[in-house]
Amino acid sequence: MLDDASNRSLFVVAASHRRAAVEALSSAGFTVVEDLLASPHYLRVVVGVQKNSAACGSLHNVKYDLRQKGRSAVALTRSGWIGHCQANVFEQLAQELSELFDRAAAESTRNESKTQYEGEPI
Amino acid sequence: MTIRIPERSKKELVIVILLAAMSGPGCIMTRAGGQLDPIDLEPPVIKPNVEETVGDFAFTLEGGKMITSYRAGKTLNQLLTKHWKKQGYVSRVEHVAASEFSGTADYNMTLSGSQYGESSIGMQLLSGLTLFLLPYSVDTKFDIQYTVEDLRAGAKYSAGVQDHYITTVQLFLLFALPFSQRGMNETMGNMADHLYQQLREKGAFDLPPTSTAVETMNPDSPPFDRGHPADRTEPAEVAD
Repeated sequence: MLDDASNRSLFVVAASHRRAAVEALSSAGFTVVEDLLASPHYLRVVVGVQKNSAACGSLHNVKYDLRQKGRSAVALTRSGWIGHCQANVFEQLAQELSELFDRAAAESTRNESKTQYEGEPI
Repeated sequence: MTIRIPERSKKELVIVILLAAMSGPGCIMTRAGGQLDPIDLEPPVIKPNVEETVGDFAFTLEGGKMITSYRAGKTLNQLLTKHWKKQGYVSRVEHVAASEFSGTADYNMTLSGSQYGESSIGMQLLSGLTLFLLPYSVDTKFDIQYTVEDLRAGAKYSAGVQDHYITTVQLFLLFALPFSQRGMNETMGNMADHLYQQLREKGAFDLPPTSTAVETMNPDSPPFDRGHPADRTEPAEVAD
């Protein structure tokens, strides 16, 4: 369950390929913050072992683990190309995460309006 | 008196020594990644007592699964705070289990982040098959953060760094034993210095030690502002 989905700021932790991951997240509409305490969302990016290579880049398993209050809220894993290859796995995962945020924010808004409606006297 | 060792026993002794060297830190050499430059820090204003723990920390070895490793985080914390003690930034550091801060230290400090060991599995196999005559290397990368809570002011500060070091494993690096940890120590020192500097710049470590504060406290004085409870983070999940 994704909390506070209307807040699209992320603190990103990536021991490798940090720049590429951050650029893709920024392009997908997230604000990547530099201060750990400035966002409720803590995104851990892990790039697995190289499985194949091409002139444009290399093929890896990539995991996005979105953590809130020390617990995993969303985990996305995808195999894909990194580097200059298209489609780029960082862009795909950032887009997927963005859609999850959109859905969770819309659901949260619906629940709020439903609660307000049900709470009104007839 | 001379001790005569039979020829066969000599061979066995050599094998035992080589195996012991390969399993220990004897056949490695570390080289600093150099992402962070060495810095000269101003002398500390205070030398506080700190309690440290490991929060949301993951250690991943290439080819293996992502694991949340409390032990790896604890070891990293020890290396970083050892440098802090050596440099005189803190007077005492004590490790506590997650969310078990005693509340008696000046600052509670939590490590979070990621450690990643990148290495060619093929080279590791090849190196193993040649009894480490062929070298292989592991690039250990860090993206780590410290969250520091000032117990009296109720303020929270955070700092983060990224750096790496490269470990080369090869049989004849046994002879480089005295320098084998140099690269790792340099990286740890730089990360520790940068973390401390960032925390200082944000306002941490500038209050007098607890002992002074306790002496000046009296029941009529207003309580310290601990901040809104909602602003405090939940204890991090710990798994080993």
